Parts: sequence; structure tokens; C-alpha cells
Amino acid sequence: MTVSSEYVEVTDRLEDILDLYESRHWTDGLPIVPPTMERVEAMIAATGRAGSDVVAVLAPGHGAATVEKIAINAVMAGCRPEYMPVLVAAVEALADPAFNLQGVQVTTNPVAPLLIVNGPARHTLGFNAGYGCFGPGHRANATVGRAVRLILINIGSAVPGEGDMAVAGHPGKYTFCVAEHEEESPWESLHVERGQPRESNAVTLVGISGFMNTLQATVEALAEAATFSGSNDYRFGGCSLFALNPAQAQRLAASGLGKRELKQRIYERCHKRVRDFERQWLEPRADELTLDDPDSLVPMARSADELMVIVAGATGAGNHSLVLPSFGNSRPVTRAFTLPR
Amino acid sequence: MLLCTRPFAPVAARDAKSGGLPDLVRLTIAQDLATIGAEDRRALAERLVDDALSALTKGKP
Repeated sequence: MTVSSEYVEVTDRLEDILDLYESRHWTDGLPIVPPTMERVEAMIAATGRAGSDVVAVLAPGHGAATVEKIAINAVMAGCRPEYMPVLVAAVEALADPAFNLQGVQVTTNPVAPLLIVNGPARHTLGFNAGYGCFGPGHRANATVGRAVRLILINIGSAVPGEGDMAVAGHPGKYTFCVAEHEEESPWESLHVERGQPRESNAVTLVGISGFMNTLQATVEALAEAATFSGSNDYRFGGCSLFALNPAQAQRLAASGLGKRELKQRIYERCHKRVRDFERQWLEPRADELTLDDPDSLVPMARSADELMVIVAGATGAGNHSLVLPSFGNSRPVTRAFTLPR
Repeated sequence: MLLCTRPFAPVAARDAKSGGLPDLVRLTIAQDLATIGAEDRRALAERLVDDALSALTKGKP
């Protein structure tokens, strides 16, 4: 037997198992798949690694995310074993200091890590990048995102009201995983932009605090949707995500905008002024802003390059793109992964 | 009977003992609360920190 975690003995009645896991705060509130030894072993085997390998240590509890603990939570979330490489890469990304998991987990802000999957694994594993890609209906999106949340609860100790002090939380804390619609993008895809080879697989994690639809996707409309003075992006200099539907992205590209130019144009339209904020709110940016001058500009990101643009959603649907404000006090992290041949 | 594995990893003992973990929780919450009025801040911070620390240090079954 390769599984070394402690186990609990329960009757084989599903209701009893669900009650036990819920009563111990080991779930997200939804029913789970019981993590039996056999299921956990199959999940570990799919990684080709030892169950005892420590992938990361997760804040704020600083629990060790071993391959085995990741596997247990993956079973509970309903993952297929072949999703494990994505999940292991996502856990590595969570623990990258740039992501600031401590802040993401403990904050009163409603931030949730969004997983963006790129590369051929989207097709191999069945990640949805088209109709309703941020919504229900696809097991890969749903269960990989859910497994990350269970890992954050059970290994990182982010139980709501305990290690997770979000005042109101975020529906993306149940599951939050999307694939980029690379085939419909007029620009280079996110993982290539972030330094990965075009044919590689990668997952990018970004801390997202909100979700807004915009019917129009002109530069002006996208900037307007992101520009509100309560946004954490102004407080820290963030990395808001613009998820454009294919037709609107292609329309912007046809007007001569590359991705870099698009981000620059949005950035230039998102400035506010110091007077728009209580001074204490901008203190984290005292090194880059002139806080004593009320007319001084406050950009929503530290640079245009830090804004993020992906293409996601159904082909041929002409309207509806998304603007997702970021937590601000966290930087996106990308990790490559490979699937077994 | 069925054997089911436990999904959680215990809070790292060295952090709980050294005080590093409570300090991190306290600091993060204090940063958050810089956005609200000073009078309310102290009471809210104390309650949030107490809630978080008592839960994190008691562990899980």
C-alpha cells in the first residue's frame, strides 16, 4: 500500500461518510467522493511520483502539500487521475512567493485563485474554453478548480472564519478554472506571453476579486468596467484580467491592436487621482505615487504589461466579454506541466 | 466498513510554537483593515485575529 495518511473507519453508507467529512470541516460544503485507499492510490500513481513528495507548503497553516494529500483532495473533488499533473502544477504556483498565498488566503477581500489552462492538454483532458467556460458542465474545469479550493482549506487551513477571513467570500471559492480559447485568439496565448513554449501545457494562477460582464469591448468600455475607486487594483497596483470573447478580440485585432497595444490603451484610460482615495488606502504604493499631491495620477496597475488579456468563450457570439478585477496584492504565476505519453 | 483517508495537513508545529504563524495572520489582517476608519479598526482587528488564531492553533480532529 502506498498511502500513508491516517484514515477514518466509517460505514459504507454514503450519507454517513458525507456527514463525517462535513462535521470535521474537511469539505467545501458540497458532497464529496469518498477518498478510499484505492482511489487515492490511483490518483498518486497518475503522477509517477511518491506520495510522500512535498510539492509545496501552503499558508497560512503551512501544511505540507504532499502528492498524497493533493491526491486525497483531488479524489474528494471528483477529479480523474489524469488531471493530477495540472493540479500539482497549480499547487506549485500557489506557493510561489510572487502569488502571496498568505495574503490571498487570510485577507478580508473576496479573492479566489483563478486557474487558466493553456496548451494541448486542454483538449486531451477536456477543459472547456467555449460556451460557458467560466460556468458549469465540464468535469475538468469543475473538479480541478474545486480540488484547489479543498487543498487550500485542508492543507492551507483556509476554513472560512478561521484561516480564511474574507468578509463575504466569492462564488469562485467553490471552483474557478477556465481554459483559454487559443484557436480563436488573434494574439499569442497567455502561456506564450508568459514565457512558455507554444506547444507546452501550462496553468496560470491569478487572484481574482470580481466578475463583470461588458456588452461592448471597445478599449473605452473595457477600461470603464475596470475603473472603480473601490478596486484593490488601485491600492496595490494590480493585474486585472480581461477575458475577451473571440469575435470581440478579433474585432480589436482587425482594428490594428496587438495585445500589447490593447493593454497599453486600457492602462492609459484607467488612471484615477490621489484625491479619489483616502490616503491610507494608497499607502502600499507610497514608493511609486506622489501621495502629497491630490492631482497626482494613480494607475490601476504598476505597468500596462501587468494587465492580463485572454480569449475565452463561444465562437461566433459577438457580444459579452468579461472584466475581472484582481486582488492586487498578488502577482500571477505560471507553471508548465506535462502529461504522461 | 470503509477506510477513508484524511485530507488535511496539520498546522506546522514550528510556526505555531515560534509565533510566526500568528504574526503572519495578524499582519495580513492589519493590512486589510488599513482601508477602514481607525476607530473601528482596532475592535474589528482584535476580533478577526482572535477568531483566526484560535482556530488555527486548535488544529483539526
